[in-house]
Amino acid sequence: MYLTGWDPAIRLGYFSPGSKSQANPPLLPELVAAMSALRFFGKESVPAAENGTPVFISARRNGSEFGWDDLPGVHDQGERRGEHQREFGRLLRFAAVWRNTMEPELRPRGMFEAKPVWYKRNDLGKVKFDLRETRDNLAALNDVVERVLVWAGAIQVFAPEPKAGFKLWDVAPLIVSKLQRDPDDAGHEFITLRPPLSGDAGAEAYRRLIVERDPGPGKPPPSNQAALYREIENEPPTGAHRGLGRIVAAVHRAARLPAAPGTPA
Amino acid sequence: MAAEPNLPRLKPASTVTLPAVHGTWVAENLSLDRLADSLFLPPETLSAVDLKSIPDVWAQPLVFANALRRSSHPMHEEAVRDWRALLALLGLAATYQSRYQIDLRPADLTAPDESGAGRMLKSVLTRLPPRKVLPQAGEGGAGADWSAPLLLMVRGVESASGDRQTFEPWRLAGLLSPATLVSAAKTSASLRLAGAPWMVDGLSDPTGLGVGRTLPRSEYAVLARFLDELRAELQAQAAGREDDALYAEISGRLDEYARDCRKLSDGYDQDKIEVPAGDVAALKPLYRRLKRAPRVRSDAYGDTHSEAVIPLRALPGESGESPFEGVLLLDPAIAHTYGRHARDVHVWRQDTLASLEASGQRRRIEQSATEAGYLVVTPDDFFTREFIKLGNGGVVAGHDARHGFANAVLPVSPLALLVHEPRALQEALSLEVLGDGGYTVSLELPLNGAGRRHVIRRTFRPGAPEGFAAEERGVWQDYGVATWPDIQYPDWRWNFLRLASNPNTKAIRPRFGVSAQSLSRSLALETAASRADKARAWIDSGACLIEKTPELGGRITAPAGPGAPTPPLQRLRYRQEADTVYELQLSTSPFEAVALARSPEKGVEARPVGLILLDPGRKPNIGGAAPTVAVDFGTTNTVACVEGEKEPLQLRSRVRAAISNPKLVDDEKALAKWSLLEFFPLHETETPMPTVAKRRVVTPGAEPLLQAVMDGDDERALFSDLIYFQPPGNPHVGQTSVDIEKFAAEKDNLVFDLKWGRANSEDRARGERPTRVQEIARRFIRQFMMMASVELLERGVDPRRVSWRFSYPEAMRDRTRNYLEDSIRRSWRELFEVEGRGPAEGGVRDMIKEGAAAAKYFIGLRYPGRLLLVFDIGGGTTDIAVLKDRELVWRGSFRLAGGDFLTHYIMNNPEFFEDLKLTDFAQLRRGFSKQTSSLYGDRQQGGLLKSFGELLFSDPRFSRAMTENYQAIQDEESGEGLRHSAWVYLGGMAFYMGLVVRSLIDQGVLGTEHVRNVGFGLGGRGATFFKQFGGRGADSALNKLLGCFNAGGGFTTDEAPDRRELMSDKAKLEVVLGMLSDQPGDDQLLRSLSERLRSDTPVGETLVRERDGSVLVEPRGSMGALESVNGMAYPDLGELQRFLTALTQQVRLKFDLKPDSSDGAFKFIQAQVFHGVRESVEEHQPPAPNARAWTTAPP
Repeated sequence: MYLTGWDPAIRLGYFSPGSKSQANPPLLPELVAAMSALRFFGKESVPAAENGTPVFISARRNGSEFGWDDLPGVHDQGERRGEHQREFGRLLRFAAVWRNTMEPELRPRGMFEAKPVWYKRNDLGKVKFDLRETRDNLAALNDVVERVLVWAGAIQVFAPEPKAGFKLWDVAPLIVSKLQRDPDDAGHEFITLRPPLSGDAGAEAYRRLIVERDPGPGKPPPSNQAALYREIENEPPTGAHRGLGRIVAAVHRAARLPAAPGTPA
Repeated sequence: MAAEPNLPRLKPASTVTLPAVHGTWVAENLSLDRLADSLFLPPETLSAVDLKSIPDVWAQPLVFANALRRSSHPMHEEAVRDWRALLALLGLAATYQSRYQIDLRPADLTAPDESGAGRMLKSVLTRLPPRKVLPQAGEGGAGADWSAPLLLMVRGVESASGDRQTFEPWRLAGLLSPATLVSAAKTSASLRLAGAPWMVDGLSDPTGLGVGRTLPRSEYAVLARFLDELRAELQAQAAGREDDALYAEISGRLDEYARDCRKLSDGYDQDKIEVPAGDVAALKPLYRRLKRAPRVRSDAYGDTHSEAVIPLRALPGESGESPFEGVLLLDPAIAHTYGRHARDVHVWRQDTLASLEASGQRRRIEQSATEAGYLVVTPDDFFTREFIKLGNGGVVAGHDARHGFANAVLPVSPLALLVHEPRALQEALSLEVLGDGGYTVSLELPLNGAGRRHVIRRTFRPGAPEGFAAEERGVWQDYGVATWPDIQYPDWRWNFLRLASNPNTKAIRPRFGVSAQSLSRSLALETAASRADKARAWIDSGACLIEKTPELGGRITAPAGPGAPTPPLQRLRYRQEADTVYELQLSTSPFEAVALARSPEKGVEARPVGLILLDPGRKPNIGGAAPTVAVDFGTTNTVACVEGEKEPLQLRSRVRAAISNPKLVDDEKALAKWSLLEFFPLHETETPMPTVAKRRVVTPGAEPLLQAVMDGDDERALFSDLIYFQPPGNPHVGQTSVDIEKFAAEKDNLVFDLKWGRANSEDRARGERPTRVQEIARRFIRQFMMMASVELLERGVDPRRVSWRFSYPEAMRDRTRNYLEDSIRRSWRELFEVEGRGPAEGGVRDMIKEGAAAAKYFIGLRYPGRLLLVFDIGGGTTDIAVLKDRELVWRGSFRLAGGDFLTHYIMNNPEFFEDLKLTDFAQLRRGFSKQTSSLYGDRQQGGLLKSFGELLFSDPRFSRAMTENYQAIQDEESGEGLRHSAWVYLGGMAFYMGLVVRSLIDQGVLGTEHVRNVGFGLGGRGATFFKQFGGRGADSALNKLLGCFNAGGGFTTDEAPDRRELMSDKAKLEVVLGMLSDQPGDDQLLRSLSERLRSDTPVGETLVRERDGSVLVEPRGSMGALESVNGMAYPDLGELQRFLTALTQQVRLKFDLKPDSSDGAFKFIQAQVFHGVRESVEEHQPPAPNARAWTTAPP
C-alpha cells in the first residue's frame, strides 16, 4: 500500500465535483501517487510482509522545494535510479522541439526550393505529406505533444506554494496561463500553449526546460536547438525507422538528457 | 532540516513514523486505523464529493461502512442519508414500478475482460477483500461476503404508454454490502432519479424530505414494513451471535429508520400491505429481503374506493336515477384540499392522484371508473372557455347579486348542475376581479360528501383564447329568454322556454334550457360508457352540444314515436327573422338554467359560454286536499272554478324573464307582450277568457317536421297552436295603434268557435276524422288544463289528484260531444299520466250539461215559487232548463245567444265603439272587414266577425268603458240600437218559454198552478249584458220583457200574475258553480239532470204540408215529432207576429217586416225558419254507423 498526500492542501480556487466529469488540473501530489503506481505495477511481485501489508510513504527534502531528487522514483538504486528524470526530460524536450521547430518545418517542399540538409538526410523528401495516413499520424503526434506540454504546465502552475520551489521543469515560456472567469464561478486557471517559438526565444525556452544533470559517460546531448539541428543533420537514426518515423526517432534521440554518472555511454 | 512527508496534514500527536530520507518510497509499519487516527481533519464536516481520490479499491464500501457505524465519523450523516436512500430505493421498488426499475447484477471479479483491461484491479479486489461482514447462518460460502459483489442498478421509466414502457439507461446506484446491506458507490452522489422523490436531487433520506415533498403515508408504511422484514432477517441470520457489534449497529439503524417511517405512516393500516414472494433464490439469504419490496395490496381498496368523487346532487322529485354513481374528478390539486401528498390520495381504488401523471395510468383509471358508472372529468370540464359580463344593464334575474354574477354568465358547463342545485351552485361560485381586466372564477365542489370542499378555478382574461373574458354590450331584450311556469315543482312535466337571439353576430346566444333532471334523462342510456360519452358532449367546452346532437339539431326535434319516452328536450324554431331567431323548448323537467353559446367569429361554430340560472320560482307546499275543478268550455269564453272558491279561476302571469333590462322603456315592454303571443301571457288573465286559439305560423322550411307543425299535426304542447291571450291595451298610453297593427297581423291566425269544431271544406275532404278545429280545441283544452293546474299547484294541490268536471251544452250532438269528452280525457292523460307511476287519484270525473249545471245553481238560490226557468245565456248557445219543485222537467239548448244580438249588433255598428270612446276598437273593427281568414275562409264572415267581437269584449277596457260610458250613450242611436236588440232576444226567449210551459201543461207534466209564481234565472255571460239593458223591479223593461212569457203561453194575468227574474251574484259562473255545488238533495237532482229527458222542443210556428194543407205540427208541437219535412210549406210566421205584437205592448217596440216586399225581412225570416227547421230535422237523424270510429271507448 502506498500512501500519498500533501500538506498544505493545494488551493485551486474553484470546485469541480468528482466522478467522470471532474475536470481538475493535474497536480504534483498526483504525480507522486502516479509514481507509486508505476513502481507497484512495475514490480514482478509484491513481497510478502511480516506484519500484514507494508505501507510505503515518501518524503521531500523540505517544504519549500521540489526537485527531481524529491520525486520518489521507480528504482531506488542502481543505473536506473534517476531514470524517471531522464525520461520526463527527454519527453519534454522532444515535445518542445517538435512543437517549436520540427513540426513547422515539416512540409512538402517544391522542386526548386532549397531543402535543408537535415531534411534530406532524414529522407523527408520521400514522405508523402498529402497522404491521409500521414496527416493523421502527424495530427496524433502533435496532439500528444500538446497534451504533454499542457500537463507539465499545469503541474507547474498549480505547484504547491511556494511556486518558485518547483524545480522539476520550467515550461513557462511555452504556455499561457489565463484566469478564466465564469459567470457563476470564481474562475480558474486555464492553460493553453503559446504559438511555436523560434529563434532566440525558442532556444531560450529549450535551455530552461529541464535542469541538466551532471553528465555521465557517453556523448553529451545537444544542449540547445542549434546543436540539436546539427545532430539530426549529421546523425540520421539507424534501425528500422521508416518515413516520418525517421525524423521522429532522430529528434527523440537528440532530445536526450545526459546519462547518469557511472552509467555506460 | 527534516524531510517533509508527502502526506496529508497530520495531528501534532501523530504516531506515524515519518521517513527520514526523501525521494524514495519507505515501507512503514503503519496500520490504516493508526493513519486514520493520525490525520488532521478540519473542524468543518468533510463532504464526500470533496474527497478527490480514495486509494483502496474497496475503500468506498469500507469508508461507507465506517461512516455509517460511527456517529463521530465526519461522513456519518451523509452515510446514513445515502444508506436510507438506497434502502428506500429497494424497499419502494414495487410501489414505484411505474417510475423506476432496479436490478442486482453480480460484478464478476474472477473473469478478466476480453481486452485484459482491469485484470490487475480485479486481482486486487479479489485478493484484498475487506474482512468484516454481518453475522450469517451457514458456513463457508453460504453467507454473503465480499467476494461476489452485487451492483445495485437502477433505471428510470422514461415514458409509458399502455403496457409499454421506455427506460432511461441503467445506472449504478450502489452495491450490496455484506457489512451494511447496501452501500453507496462513488457514482451514487451524482445519481438523480426524477421519479423517486427522495432521489430527485441526489440521495436523500425519505424521512427527512422537505415540506411538500414527503411521501404518502402508505409509502412510509411500506418502507417501515420493508425495514422490519430486513431486521427480522438480520436477526435470524445472527442467531446466537447477537452480541456482534456490526449486527447490533446495523440492526439498530434499521430499527431507527423503521421507527421514523412508522411515525410518518400516521397509523396507516398494515393489513393493506403485502410482501410479494419475488424471485430471490439466487441471492444469499442476507440479501433476499432486499429484493422483496412490499407493496399496498391491490385489493386493499374497494372496487369503487376513491377520495376524488364529487357526489351528484339528489335529483328532485321522482326524476329517476342518477346517470352516474358520481363524478370522479381527476385533479392533482385535490391533494392540497386533503393536505396530503398526491400519492396519498386515492383517486381510484389503489391508484393515487400521482398516478394521473402517467397518461397510460390515467386512461386506465378513466376506463375502470367509467365502467363502474362514474363520470370521469377534470376541472376544465366544469368551466367554459369564456366569461361574459352583460353590459348595457343586462341583469340575470336568477342570479343573486351577492355572489358577483348578477350581470354575468356563469362560466360553467351543465356538469355543474349535476353536482349543485342552482342555488347551491351560486353559493359555490365566487368571482375575483383581477387588476388587469381579468377574472378568476372559483367553484367549490363537495368532495366525497365528507363535508370537505374542493375548489377549482379558472382565470379569464381579455384576449386569452383559453379563458376569455369580455363584456358584452348587447341589447338585453326583455323576455329574450323566458320560461313558464314560475313554480318550482320537480314533478311538473310541462316546462317551456322561449329563446330569442340574433344568430348573425358574435353576441352570446341562449341555446337550450337545462336541468339536472333533463341532463340525467338525456343520459339514460344503456351502458356506462355511452352515458359517459354523451355526458362528455354536454361538457365539451369547445362546441355547443345542441349543434352536434342530431336529435336536437336543426329547427325542430322529432316527436317521440308511439311508446317511446318523451325526449328530455324538445325544440321548435318557429320563426326566423332577419336578425332574430325564435325558439320554443319544452322539457318534462323544470328548467334550471339556460346554456348560452357564442361564435368567436362569424360563421365559426358556436362554443359554450356558460349558464344563466333561472329564478327557481315559488315552491308550493303540496299537501292540501284535492279539490274539484269545474270548467265551462264555452263557445266564446271559457271559465273555470275551483271547488271551495268563490271567485273564478285566474291565470296568473307565470312568464319569467331570465335576463331583464331595467333600462327598457314602456314601448319596448309593450312590444315584448306581443312578442310573447307565441308563448304564454305576460298579464294576469281572468276567466272567463276568450275561447280562441292561435295557430303558430312557423317560418316555412323544407323539413317535413316543420310542415307537420304548420299543418297543425304536431301534437306537442304549443307546437302547432296555442291559446290566444290578447295583450291588454294600455289606456294610459296612446299606443293602441301599435296593438292594432300587431293584432291585424295576428288575427288571420286566430281560430274561433273551437267548441263546435265545425268542418270546413278541407276537413270534409279528409273524411271521417275530427275536424282541424276540433283538434285545435283539444289542444286548447289541454293547455287550459295545464295552466289551471299550475294555479292549483300554487294552492298546494298536486294536480294529479284533482278531479275535473266539464260542462257541455244540451244542443251538442252526440258525436261532437263524444269527441269533446274524448279530448278532455285524452288531455288529462297526456298531462298527468306518467308511465311507471301509479294511477293518478284525480281525473276527469263528469261531463255535465250546461243547462243542468246552471239549474243546479239557481235551485240553490231557493226561489219560493214552484216553477223555475233557468237561462244560461252564453256567447253562442242558450241553455234552458225548466224545473218544477226542484225537479227538472224540461231542458233545451239553442245556438242563439248573446253573440247573435249583442256582439253581432256592435260589430255591425262600429260607431258604438266610438261612442264608448274606444276609437281603436272601432278602427280594428273597420279593418277587420277587409280581412278574410285564409285557412278558415269558408266559414261565414259573420261568424268570424262575431268571434272577433267576443275577443274585443274580453278586453278589460271594454267592460270598463261599458260601466263608465254606456249610461251616457244609451239614448244615442248606437246605444238605443243595442238596447233594442237585447230586448228582442230576451222577449223572444220569454215568449218561446211560454210556448214550452204551455206544452208541458198540455202534456200534464205541469199544472196551471205552477205558473202562478215563475222564476227566471238568468245566467251566463250573456246575462250580464242583458241585466244592463233591462233594469230591475216590476216596472223595469226586463220584467216587461219577461211578460212575453204570458203571451207565448197564452197565460192570462190571473193565471200567471207573478214573474220574478233571478240574477246570479256570480254572473258568468252559474254553470261552473252549479257543477261544484253540493246541496242536500243534489244527488237526486243530479240523477234527474243526467237522465236523458224527453226534451220536446216546440217548433214555435205552425208547419203545414203544401200538398194537402194538413197541419204538420202546431206551434207548441215538438220538433222531435218531425220525421220528415217533405212537402212542408214556408211557415206563415203567425207566432212571430204574436211575439212582435207582445213586444210592442210590453216595451213599445214596433216592427215592420215588410211582408209584401220580396226582399223584406218577412220573406227572409220565412226562408230562414224553413231551412232552419229542415236542417234541424236532418241533424236529428241517427248518425252514420262509423261516425264514432275515431273516438276511444267512453270511460
